[in-house]
Amino acid sequence: MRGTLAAGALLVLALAAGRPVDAASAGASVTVRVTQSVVVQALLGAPLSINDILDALRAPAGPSTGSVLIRLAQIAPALTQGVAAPGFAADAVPGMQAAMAGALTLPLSGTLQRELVAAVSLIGQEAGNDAQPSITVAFN
Amino acid sequence: MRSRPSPSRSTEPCHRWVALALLAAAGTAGAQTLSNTSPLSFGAFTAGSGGTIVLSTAGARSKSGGVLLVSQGGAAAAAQFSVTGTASAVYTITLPVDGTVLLSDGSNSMALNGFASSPAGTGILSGGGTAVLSIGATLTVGNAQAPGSYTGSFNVTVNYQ
Repeated sequence: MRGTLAAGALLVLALAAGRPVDAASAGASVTVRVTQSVVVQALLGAPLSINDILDALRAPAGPSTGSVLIRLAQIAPALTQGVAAPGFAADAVPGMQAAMAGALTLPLSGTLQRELVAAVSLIGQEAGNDAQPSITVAFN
Repeated sequence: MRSRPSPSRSTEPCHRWVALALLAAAGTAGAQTLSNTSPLSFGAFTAGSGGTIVLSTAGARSKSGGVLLVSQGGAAAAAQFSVTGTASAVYTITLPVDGTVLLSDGSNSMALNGFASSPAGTGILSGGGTAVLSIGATLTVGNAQAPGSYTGSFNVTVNYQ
């Protein structure tokens, strides 16, 4: 009799514990990548991949590599041709002032193909090419 | 002289009760679940002077301030959760409160706030007892935020009614 009562109590407990779970939780991971801005001595008017720019920027300087400008020119000869691009968006690029003569930028979104990049140079005429200008690269 | 009842006679009903209890427990426990099926990804961007990036529950990004969104380096996507349970069950969704989730690259951090869900607030499981829960959030980017890969995590809770 005592054993039966105990088993009955166990059944009640089991039924209570077996009710549908009231709450459930789960975790998720979050990822994001902050890419670096690129500083180059060039007026980029033609698209090229960001990896090309970064590779050029990171390559050690030397007789065979020269300045960033030359390195970029070796990668993308079209850059040296001063291809003008429509759709200046100077004020949309952080830190950029009014585009100077020859400084180019491409629209920030909607017109560039994927994997391409355009950039805006802030080379000042008074600073000359030896100065390190700031340049903001705009991706799409 | 009365003989003592054999042990097998007294315990046989008990065994039946125990078996019933175990069957009852096994038949209903753990029916409601929530599991993450896709992480929350903000993709890539350049920080510039900083700002915010809003990732909608549909996975669309929008930005404010000096942030430039980048398509390269990983696609943006809302987090996805799978909800299962009793058919047509109603559940409420609890998201992280502001100020509790940080993304870090080991030495720098960004705050993740403004969590949003779809459905928002309350959801209803389908007739088959399933639902998909999408989560978006707002990332706050600092001025000249250091480049790198930032990671973090958050928890979501659903309460069945």
